[in-house]
Amino acid sequence: MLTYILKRAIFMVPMLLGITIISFLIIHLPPGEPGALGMEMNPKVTKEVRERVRALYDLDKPLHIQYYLWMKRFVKLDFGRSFSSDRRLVIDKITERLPITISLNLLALMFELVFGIPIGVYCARYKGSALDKGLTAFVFAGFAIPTFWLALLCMLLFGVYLDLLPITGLKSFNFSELTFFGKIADIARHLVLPVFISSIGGLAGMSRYMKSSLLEVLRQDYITTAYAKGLPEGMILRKHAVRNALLSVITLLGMAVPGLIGGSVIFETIFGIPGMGQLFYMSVMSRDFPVIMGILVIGAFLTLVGNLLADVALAVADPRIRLG
Amino acid sequence: MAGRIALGLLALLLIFSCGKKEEIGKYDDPGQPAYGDTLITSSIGEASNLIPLLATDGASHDIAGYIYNGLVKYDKDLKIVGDLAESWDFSPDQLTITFHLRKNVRWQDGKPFTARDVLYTYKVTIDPKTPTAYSSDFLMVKKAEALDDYTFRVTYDKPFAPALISWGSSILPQHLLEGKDITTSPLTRSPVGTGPYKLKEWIAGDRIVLAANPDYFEGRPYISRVIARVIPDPATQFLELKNGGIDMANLTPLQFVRQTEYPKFNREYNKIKYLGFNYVYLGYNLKHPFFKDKRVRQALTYATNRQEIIEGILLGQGVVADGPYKPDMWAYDPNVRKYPYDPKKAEALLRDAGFVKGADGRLSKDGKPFEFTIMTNQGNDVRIHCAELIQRWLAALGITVKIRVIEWAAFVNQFIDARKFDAVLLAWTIPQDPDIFDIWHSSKQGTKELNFMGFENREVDELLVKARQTFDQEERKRCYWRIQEILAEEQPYTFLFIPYATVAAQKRIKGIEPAPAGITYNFTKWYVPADQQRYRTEQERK
Repeated sequence: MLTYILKRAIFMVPMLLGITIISFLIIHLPPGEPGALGMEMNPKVTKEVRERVRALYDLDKPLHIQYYLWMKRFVKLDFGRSFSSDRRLVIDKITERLPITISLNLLALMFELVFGIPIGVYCARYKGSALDKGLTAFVFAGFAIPTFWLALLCMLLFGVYLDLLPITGLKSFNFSELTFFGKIADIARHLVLPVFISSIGGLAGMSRYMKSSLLEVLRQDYITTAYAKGLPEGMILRKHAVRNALLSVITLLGMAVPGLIGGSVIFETIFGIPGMGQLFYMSVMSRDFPVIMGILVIGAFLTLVGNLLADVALAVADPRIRLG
Repeated sequence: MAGRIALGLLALLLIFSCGKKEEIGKYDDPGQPAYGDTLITSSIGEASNLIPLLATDGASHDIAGYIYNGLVKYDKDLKIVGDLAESWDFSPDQLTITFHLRKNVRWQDGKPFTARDVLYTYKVTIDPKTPTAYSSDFLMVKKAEALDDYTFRVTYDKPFAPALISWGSSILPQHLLEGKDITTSPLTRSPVGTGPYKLKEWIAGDRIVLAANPDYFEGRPYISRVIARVIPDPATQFLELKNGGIDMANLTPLQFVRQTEYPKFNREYNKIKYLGFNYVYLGYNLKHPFFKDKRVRQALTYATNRQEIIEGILLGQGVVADGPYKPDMWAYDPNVRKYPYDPKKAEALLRDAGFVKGADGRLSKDGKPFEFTIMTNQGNDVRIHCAELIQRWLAALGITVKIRVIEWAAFVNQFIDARKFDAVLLAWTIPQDPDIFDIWHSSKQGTKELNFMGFENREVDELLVKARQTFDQEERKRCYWRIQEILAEEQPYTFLFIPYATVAAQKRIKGIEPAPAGITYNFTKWYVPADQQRYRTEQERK
């Protein structure tokens, strides 16, 4: 087992290296340079200023040198400074946004699990019933509806017409003056819409996965055996069927790990939530190469780790993999 | 299970029910100026750096505008008045400006403001190690010196009219910055200025909170706090405005005219408009064989129904532009040649220029059909719609127009810089100082320079130089009026329109008076009467 993990971990290094090269090339492909975008078409910016700024960012050097310089810093786990005019450390910019995105996505993931699995189980057990069809239609609708559109509709309904929920942000303007419970309620009120909207798509995936893999399991001989020896149905489902069916959910969870830090550009932008997705979007728009690279590398790393974790977790949960 | 669900629902209900906004009666009573309350605004992007010298984004400059002062500023009629400078005088040869500074000004950390701060600001701006976009005006200074604590003198090689307002740049605190690397200074995130507001809190990506500076030299501003929220999505911003979550926002023409026309909104908000500081134009590549002939350019302007553009696309929220200035500026010449929509005249001019109509109704000259492409940047629907209307009008004359919409960076780098375009539909900012040398002088045609149309006119060149070498407003006015006459005759651009800036502001905020300079020039005098204040801090309630 340990050698397996070790082997996988070592293999991650060349993979990560390849990812950085490809990412670096791709983000330098489109026209436009950092800093220059703010200065484009500005009569006050002379040629000398332009050259000076380019030199400051090492943009006057050929691409492979730029990559080398970046790599030299990166091996020391230094992501460099942002190209945007605040010149802050990339790692600071990322760490101040990471907690927000992670906690939001964890909440959404929990929401998906808590509702997705029971829906899947129910739909598998009572396949073809009216409720199964209804639930299936509901989750598919949730999957198919464009998130941004649903988000705007919900904001219009709950925010503007009913005036029940705040529309954007995470905290009210007077947050610092609220009592402890007031603060919790304030954040909870702000979270209702974003968490609901961001999990509605995943809910469909989760419940469908659960349903199909449970159906698969329910067809197995040992389930028939369990029924035959007269076990109560609840016990069959809980002890024998669902446990086995959950294996596929573990794979799904492994794939969700990079999403936890990636955040969603769309709903973070719409809800005005200062998370990673927003940071990434703004960095791309302003060609802030160090920040883009930082986020891409961390994301790639977490994807690889997530896959590894999922495999390990599968091995732990499933003796066939562990022993075989 | 049912019990648990009920409990969950109850919790949800509790979450929903608390924290509704307190209702406050009518806002129509102008009341008396009072201290207090909070103004919440929002912007699409977040400020990046609160040392304005280092920032190129609008969001940073908007926030910095509350925190810093320059030596001079524009008043509501765009006249230059003193800010940190009480007065100034020119030497007889107009090469030297001597500023007399205010004596009662303190930095927000309590240290007094002196001429050393001004000298430092000048030095750091021209320092080659400072990555700033704003050094060009200061690089024309021959000598800068602080004569004493409250007198500052600059000398130029030749008289330079925009020099005076270049001292409107934010003055930085020398005692906190001198000898340190300005790019990594803590002041980029927690600025210290002399202005009416100071930074209280900055939650990255979410909001910036400013608090009134009680010691501000022009008196404490009435509004106690300003919160600038970051809401990246314009649709969300509009919803948040309708919901009362922000107090002031820019509206699109559609929002201004239609989507806010309902009683509740009109009860809560004042809708304000003033002429914006920009104009939209269709610019011709003057090296293009067809566009070399001014009759062709005049014809295209006659063929463009600018009034219909304003009615149809801007829903009336704009005025026709007939030159590079807006009508409420002193440099604007109202008597230039006008080009009302007249397709007949356009047709006649094109015939004079040698174009003939073929059997298929299309124009051509020497066997070459009249075809060209209008390029514009992605993400601006108004410009794209304008191009579509122009395409239709010109098609009626027998001219084939193609439209290409390109992402901004690619547009600038691959087409504008390479001069690979027939005509572009873009906009210019209208500068508050009327100096337009960089756009129209024939020497400004290099890469990355702004006369990319290739406009060359000896008389305009001379007038542009003459106008920037005198401080006499009447003299400058004569120059700029003549330049506008020439531009109107030459039509290197078809000047399309100047849009109105359309703003909604919560009604409890009083004292907003639109003027040529916009609305924020008197921000410190805005107030909310005591009985209409909405957001009070715990302290203020006691």
